[in-house]
Amino acid sequence: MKLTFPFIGRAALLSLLLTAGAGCELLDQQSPQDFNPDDVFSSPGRVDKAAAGMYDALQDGEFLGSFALIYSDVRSDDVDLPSGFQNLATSTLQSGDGNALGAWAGGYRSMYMANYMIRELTRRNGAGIPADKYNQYIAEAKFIRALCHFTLVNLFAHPYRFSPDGSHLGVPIQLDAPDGTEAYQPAQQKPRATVKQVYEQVTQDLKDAIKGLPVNQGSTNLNVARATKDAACGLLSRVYLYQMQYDSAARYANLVITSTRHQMNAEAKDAFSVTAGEERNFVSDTESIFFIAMSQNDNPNTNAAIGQFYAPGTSISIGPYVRALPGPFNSANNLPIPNGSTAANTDRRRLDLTVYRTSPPPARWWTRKYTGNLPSGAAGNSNRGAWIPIVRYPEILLNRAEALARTSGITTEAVSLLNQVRDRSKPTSAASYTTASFANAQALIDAILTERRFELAFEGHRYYDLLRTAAFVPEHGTGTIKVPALAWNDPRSILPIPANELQRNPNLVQNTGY
Amino acid sequence: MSVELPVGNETKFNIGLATDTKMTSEVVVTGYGGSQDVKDITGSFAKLDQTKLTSQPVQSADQALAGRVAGVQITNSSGTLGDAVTVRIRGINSINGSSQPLFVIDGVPMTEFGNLNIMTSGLRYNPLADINPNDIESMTVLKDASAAAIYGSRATNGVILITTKKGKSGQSKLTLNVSGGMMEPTKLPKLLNASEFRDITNEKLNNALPNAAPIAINGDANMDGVEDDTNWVDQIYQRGYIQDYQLALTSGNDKGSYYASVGYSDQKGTIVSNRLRRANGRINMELTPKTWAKAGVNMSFNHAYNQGVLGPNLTSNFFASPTFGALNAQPNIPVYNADGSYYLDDQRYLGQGSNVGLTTYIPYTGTAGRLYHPLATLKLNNNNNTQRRLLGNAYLTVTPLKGLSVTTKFGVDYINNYEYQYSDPSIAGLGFDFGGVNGLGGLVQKTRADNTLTTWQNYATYSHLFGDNHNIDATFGYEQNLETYEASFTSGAFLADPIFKDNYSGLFDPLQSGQGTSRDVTAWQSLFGRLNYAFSDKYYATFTARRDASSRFGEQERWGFFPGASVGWRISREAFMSDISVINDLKLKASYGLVGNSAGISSYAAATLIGQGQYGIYPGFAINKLNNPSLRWETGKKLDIGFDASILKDRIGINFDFFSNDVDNLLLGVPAPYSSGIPNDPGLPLVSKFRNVGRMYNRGVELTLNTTNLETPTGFKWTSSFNYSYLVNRVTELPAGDVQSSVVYRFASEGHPITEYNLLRWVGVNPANGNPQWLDANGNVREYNYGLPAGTWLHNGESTLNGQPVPEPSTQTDGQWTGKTGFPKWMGGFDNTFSYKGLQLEIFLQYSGGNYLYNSTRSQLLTFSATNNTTQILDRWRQPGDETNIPRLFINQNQHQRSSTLFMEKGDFLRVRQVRLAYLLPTAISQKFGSSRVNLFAMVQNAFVFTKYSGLDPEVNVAANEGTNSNIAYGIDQRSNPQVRTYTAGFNIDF
Repeated sequence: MKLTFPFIGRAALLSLLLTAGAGCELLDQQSPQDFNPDDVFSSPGRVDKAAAGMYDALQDGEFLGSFALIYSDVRSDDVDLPSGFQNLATSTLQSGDGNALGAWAGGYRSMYMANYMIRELTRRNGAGIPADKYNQYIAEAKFIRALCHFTLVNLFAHPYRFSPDGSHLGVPIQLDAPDGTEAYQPAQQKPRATVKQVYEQVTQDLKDAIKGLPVNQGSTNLNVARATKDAACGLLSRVYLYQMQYDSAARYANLVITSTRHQMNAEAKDAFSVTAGEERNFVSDTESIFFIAMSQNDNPNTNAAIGQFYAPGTSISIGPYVRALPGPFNSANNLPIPNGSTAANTDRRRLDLTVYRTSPPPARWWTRKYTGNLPSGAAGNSNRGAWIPIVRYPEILLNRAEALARTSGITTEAVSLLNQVRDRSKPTSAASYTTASFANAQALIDAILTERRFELAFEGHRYYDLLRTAAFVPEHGTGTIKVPALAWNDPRSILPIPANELQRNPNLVQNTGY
Repeated sequence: MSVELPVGNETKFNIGLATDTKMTSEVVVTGYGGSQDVKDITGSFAKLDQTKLTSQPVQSADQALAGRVAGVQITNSSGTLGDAVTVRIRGINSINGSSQPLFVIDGVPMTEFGNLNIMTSGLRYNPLADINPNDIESMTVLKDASAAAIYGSRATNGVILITTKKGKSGQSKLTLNVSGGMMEPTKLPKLLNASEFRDITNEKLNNALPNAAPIAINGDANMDGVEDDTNWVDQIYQRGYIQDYQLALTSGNDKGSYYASVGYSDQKGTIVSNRLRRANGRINMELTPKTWAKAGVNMSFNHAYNQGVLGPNLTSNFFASPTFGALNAQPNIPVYNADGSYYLDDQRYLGQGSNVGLTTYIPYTGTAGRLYHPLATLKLNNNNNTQRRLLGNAYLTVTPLKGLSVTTKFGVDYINNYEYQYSDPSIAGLGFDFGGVNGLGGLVQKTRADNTLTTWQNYATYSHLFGDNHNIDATFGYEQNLETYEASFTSGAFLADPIFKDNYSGLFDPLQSGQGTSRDVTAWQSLFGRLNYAFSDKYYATFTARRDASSRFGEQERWGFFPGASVGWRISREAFMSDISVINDLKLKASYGLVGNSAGISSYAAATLIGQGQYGIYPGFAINKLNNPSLRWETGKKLDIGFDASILKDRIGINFDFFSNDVDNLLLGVPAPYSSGIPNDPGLPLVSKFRNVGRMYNRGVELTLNTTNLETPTGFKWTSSFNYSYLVNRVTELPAGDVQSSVVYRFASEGHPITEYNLLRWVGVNPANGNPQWLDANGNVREYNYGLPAGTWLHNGESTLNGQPVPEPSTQTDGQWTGKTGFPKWMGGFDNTFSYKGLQLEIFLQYSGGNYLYNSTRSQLLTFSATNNTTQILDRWRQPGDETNIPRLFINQNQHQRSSTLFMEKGDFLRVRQVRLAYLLPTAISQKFGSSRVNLFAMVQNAFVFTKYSGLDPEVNVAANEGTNSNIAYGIDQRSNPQVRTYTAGFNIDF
């Protein structure tokens, strides 16, 4: 074998071939428009944005960003039979129903980012952020997770009292943020926990949250947009109320009340006031404790924003609610009329937070909580940037009032709490309540529940307040279009587990009646 | 006529006029510097020579493969210039991924983009159109695993190696090719004229509303003195023209060689305003300064300017598309006003003519029943695409020892693609919407994209003859690829004057001004090797392997291993065969191997991606997609068994192959429990991710016969080349359930061919009353009742079913598997060449069949709304006893259009793809003007199609190369622009 060119040349070429294999970083390409998890958890500023991402997930229009509230209220006695959501409103939906699936999927989707934060921060031993921030983010995550589980169990399971010890089926408890591989493992085919187990988890998460949450998130708006200690206490008082643990409900409500960080606004409409086209501002709002923030550019949009369903002329009109509020009626047809309504004879919430429109026909009443609601009082159209109310101070007062009434009967404090909410909105001609106004404790409780209905309407409360107190959802509607009455424990009073999910997860059991 | 010339010291060229793929010494390239004599090959290769490519009026090189190679299916999507071409080698081999083969030019892989254009409703850009067919020396198709495994994870769909022309030692030549011609649509839809339209439309109306006043009224709406009667199809289709000029230089000696060419072509398409101009240049040169070293550069630059039409095909349901507007527009409406301006209404839609109230019965709610002016849309709106492509490589090969050569090669495939869409403000549409009323307006959208694929290869080849009989030929190497895609897009509206449509800045444009950028990078690293062993020209074996890593794959599956092996036995060399004189050569061969398909995996598919997640006004992050660390290529296990034979004194060459490709690990969307809460992958339903879980197979046979049918001493010769392939596909495992396409009646399902139809069964029109009838799932007749009570369904003639109203039948509830597929079961070509002295006639037939097409065009043109119809509607039911498939007319009741077997039609065809007559001037004459060779030719491309298909052309594929749909929804005819017939004539002169 004869060398045809110098040995050194050959060596150079062969080494060229061998070195070519170097450079494995070539294969580690990263999307230029996305972070990978390591980058996200690389600095405190980014981790804080990831924490904001937990709330971004909470904006989900299929869930608490809009529909979860609507699904409660369209089944309640506050609305006319809506043009959308009819199967829901009449409790006739099937297990393949898209709304049921949307709520189910939306609920777990909404808590994924919260679980992901817990997972990543724990796995990364805090990712090098300050301890207080670490505790805060974990607490915020647990608050969000608790809120989602609590909403899911209300939608898909019977109220706590349905069985003596809450041992009936609730929803799967999701404490993991499975990655792309784990999501397909059998461990993710989670069975339904009992309602009691779900409440225990929710309670535990909220108690943990209370410990880690700050009282101040840094600005007036952020104090509402992100969870605070008061938000968690307030929500926990509701959870205990639903669970019929009234002592605890009263206690956690009292933590908020005695903090004195919140007061009732001057008027009921103040918590929903926004200048048309502008972003919501809480500078002079002391009663809003936790809302899910929206903005004109970031909201569930035309298809799902809550205002798209409640604004005048859209889906959900509210004749029965307005009829319940004090104010003038047309005696001929027993329908509320706007003519002649004054502060003296009409509830402020009817005057300021509802609107009567004759067009498009038929003439109907609409809520203004989610409209471009000018402070001057003119009703606007749908405000897609409307924030979603979750915890408000009036609810806290009523939570404590009800809990006290149920444990201690008629007390000055309970009546006073009720009056704090009622007096700012009642017709000026009506008298304030005194302990003498009530024949017995039940009468006080009924008054509190009525006030709760008036004050918290269309915020997702009414239906669950009926079910948890074992009350019928009365027949309601307008004219001849009536939704029949529904018993609190009727199998159809809760949503079906989505058929599609039953296929994906064989460990689930369908609700009776579906 | 076949001349062999030794070139360099390892390759041979086959220059010939006659078709000649016999098993005499012919060399095919096998990738990475390898080449093998056909007689020694044991894998499945097929080669197409330059003679079938030069001076073809094809728009892209892949089109020239149509019908030429067994097992290769080429489908032109439509007659729109520069539109996508679908290439399938041995069938459809993916469900959600790409089924397009890998193209490699001069050893360097080309980008896998099937359509580089990203703007919706626009043109498609087929990157293969950038290669000048005249520059191609040969194309080699690698079909089996033994051949293709050297391309590893990109080889499941087969590989096409394109080799461009090189300079030839001792031959200096200047070649001029000039051709020109015209093209025309092969067939245009036949629609109603004005009076037919008037009668049919009013019949639709009066069948529903007996006493209603007529809505279709003929008259002279533009007051030009002539009753309005417009053939809109003639308004938008025209005769097209082609001119093509090519100049090539080639020379070489023992120190170097070069081939250089420039070309220019101009095609005016058959759609008004559709025009494609292309200029290209190439330099291929090689220097051999030392006996032990050579270096070279192959480089081409291509510039194409395609003036297209909005929504030519893919999105042909867009109003602005010519096939939407012109086929729907009412014929009793004039094109122009008397003053020559377009006949439009006050909102700049097509005017109503003398009709009254037609729009009430046209269910296009977005435009309130009005149509866009077909011709004005074509003429005033622009959709232009400018493509610049640099394809090149440079290499250095050193031969340190005899038999050993080491090569390093750097290649680049650079594309600059510029898309431009302009919507004019003077006609309805986006342009008018954005300020057209104020005298401002127009919408401009521009996208500019750069795609750069760089390749670096280092490989060594060694060949040696050990002893007398052991021939070894080995290749080993390393390759890396880096592909970067970068795009920026911008749009502007409210132009003060149309002059700003090309360049705009400083617009006051609150509603419509968008801009953005995107970027995407993929990297590959690979090691590969091949060993060819031959013993005594009798026993052969080839081992091939590649290890591929890609940044697309999950971290647990970063490296894949793709081995292939084949063996051959040249049985004719055995002593016991020597007596059989009829067999000149016979080789049995078999191969098996494992290859991959990674083309369906997007760049960051395996990674967790966290992006922007705004919370109200607060910035945040959101998880866009979760990781899949085990994400990887789809696997193809390929088996090939066959033989190559040459018999009767080499007059008949036979290649036969049985093949099987078991595709495993198909990427499918797999749902996770909703309660997992995970985000879905882009393009998938909620809480689903792509995972490697599905299986299917393609099996079939291929036969190629190359024959010399007649050869007389007087010089007359008739040769032919025939090929046939038969293919069976079956989806065998879809653990996550059916995979739906964009059409309801086509979805991949376990146990069925991927393109099988699942349709509602059409019964026919009830002769008694003219109602349309279908069968439900259980074979009961469901009849739609136009009469009383109107708009109800009947079940076996009864108006209730179990006491309830009869539900309507639908594909979802009542569809049945038909056993019929959209993809052809058999296909091939038959090429005949007759030559006598300098005269040569080629007749090339292409055929395909066993498949069914869904004629959605026919369905849509049988509408009962108040738009125009195909003349087939004249055969509607009119009185009891009428036997027809077109129900009683009933305005706006389009129940008969529901997807059913009514619109599924046989797709069999035999196409006279090419008739070419060439005359080689006698040397004595050509030398008179200094030429060594003058060849005159005339040809008809796509001369005629024999088919029973009632649509325009049975070769149609709306989905082209758009992922899932192109695999599942293959063979849907949805208002495609008609294919063209091309007449060209020209000459080739060598100096």
